[in-house]
Amino acid sequence: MVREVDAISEDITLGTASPDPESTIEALIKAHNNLPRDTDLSDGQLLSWNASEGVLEGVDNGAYAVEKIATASGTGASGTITFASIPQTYRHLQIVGSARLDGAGAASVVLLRFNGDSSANYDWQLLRGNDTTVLASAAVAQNAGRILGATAVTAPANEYGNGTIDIPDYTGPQLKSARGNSVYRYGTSVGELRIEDFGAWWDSVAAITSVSLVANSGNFTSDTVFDLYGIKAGA
Amino acid sequence: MNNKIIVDCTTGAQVEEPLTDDEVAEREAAAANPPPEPVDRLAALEERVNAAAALAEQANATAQDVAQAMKPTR
Repeated sequence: MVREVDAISEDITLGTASPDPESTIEALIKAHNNLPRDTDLSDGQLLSWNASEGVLEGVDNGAYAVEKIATASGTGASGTITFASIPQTYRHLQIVGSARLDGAGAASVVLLRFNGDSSANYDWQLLRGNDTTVLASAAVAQNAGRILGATAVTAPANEYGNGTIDIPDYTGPQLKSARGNSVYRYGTSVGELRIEDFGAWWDSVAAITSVSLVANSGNFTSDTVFDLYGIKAGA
Repeated sequence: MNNKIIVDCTTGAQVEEPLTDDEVAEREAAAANPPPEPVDRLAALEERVNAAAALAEQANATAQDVAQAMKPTR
């Protein structure tokens, strides 16, 4: 595809292109940018037509962009999952996952730590809704923050805690935090479907280089999966 | 729960290795002293209101008994 685009670009440069070269090039660019990333372009670049130079070129994608960094999968034998050596090149981080624990009970929670810090440097706040009940809970000076709801061993089969964790400006100078939103069901009765909104605060201004997700009890089951994404801020 | 999973974000490789003794001790300490569970504050408040109403009813009945007992007899 790039070869075709390059050939047409050359025709345009030589003045031998079709009567409407701009629209032709635009169509080719759109088609190309919908294809998987090409090795001719750097990461995050899009193909663009430079009208003044009469050439096709790769340009930085100034738009908001999300790139997957890594995937972690539970094994049934580990209660801690750590994303280590996180690149410091994005503006924000996002973790999307589906978790089930093999600890006691039907419902549980996933904890969060940054940079391996297990000292009492975390505060957390929970807001939960199920049926018509709304409740809140919080704690300060904890050795981890609470971040996602999850199902546990006595929940019905195939019931997981599904959610997203946002970590804004993870390399910035401010005290760091994370926000986790999750939904899980541990039965089919009214009230056994919960949504939980967590805020976790870390008393540190350090750039975040690792994120650990910790089962409150038991291990992450082998169907548990977390994907870590990096978010570019855009122009 | 004696293992931990580490994903190297530069390579994408996932490895699983045993927890260190310190990490095992820390997990055991956390299990022995878990964070507070969420409390349904509305339900707790309703319970207190109902208890107060029962007390008021009981106090009213007692006051009526006292008033009745204090009525002059002929």
